[in-house]
Amino acid sequence: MPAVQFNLFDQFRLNNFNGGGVDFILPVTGALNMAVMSALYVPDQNTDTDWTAISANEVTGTGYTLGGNPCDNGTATVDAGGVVTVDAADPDTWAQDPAGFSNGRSCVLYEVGSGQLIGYSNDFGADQGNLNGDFFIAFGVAGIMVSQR
Amino acid sequence: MELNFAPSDGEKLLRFKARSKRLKLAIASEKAKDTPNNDTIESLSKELDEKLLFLRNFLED
Repeated sequence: MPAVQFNLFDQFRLNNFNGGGVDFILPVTGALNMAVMSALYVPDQNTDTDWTAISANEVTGTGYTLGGNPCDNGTATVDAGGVVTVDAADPDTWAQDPAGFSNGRSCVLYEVGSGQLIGYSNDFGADQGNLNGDFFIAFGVAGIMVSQR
Repeated sequence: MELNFAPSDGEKLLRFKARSKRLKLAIASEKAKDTPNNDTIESLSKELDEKLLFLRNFLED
């Protein structure tokens, strides 16, 4: 049940207001990916923008597809109280494999088409992976991001 | 925002319940459009069914 903070990259937030925003809704599949990163990736929340610039630091192992797993069905909804919530399906489980990865320390959400980085988790606190069991990541109850009235 | 790795069933319950509400809103919003995208509705509905099945099974256990 460990939970870590999920942070939005500053340049992603900026891009949403200058014409470079991410369309979370379409396509419904394959738009967003969640990748698992090793300790070699040290996020710079203020300046990191591009998946290709950091992808060399993702984990590798059997059962892990390079680029990560898709987070399908992006949704942007507003409730009666005016709270706008952006969310997506959690990435598929990385199934247990004796040749899997064991050095996951954080994860990164990015748009597949443009490579634009969206957000990243804080350090898991210890190495994680699918070596000894399935590895599953879920967004928190509040989703990916929230905009209050 | 928060992210869970290796979430418990209880955490999944809370997450899936919140996600189900958003999926229902998103489906209703898409259906209300002048030209709704049937692929979007189908994909969102499929995920909603999966989440509701998990919630139902959890409550029955």
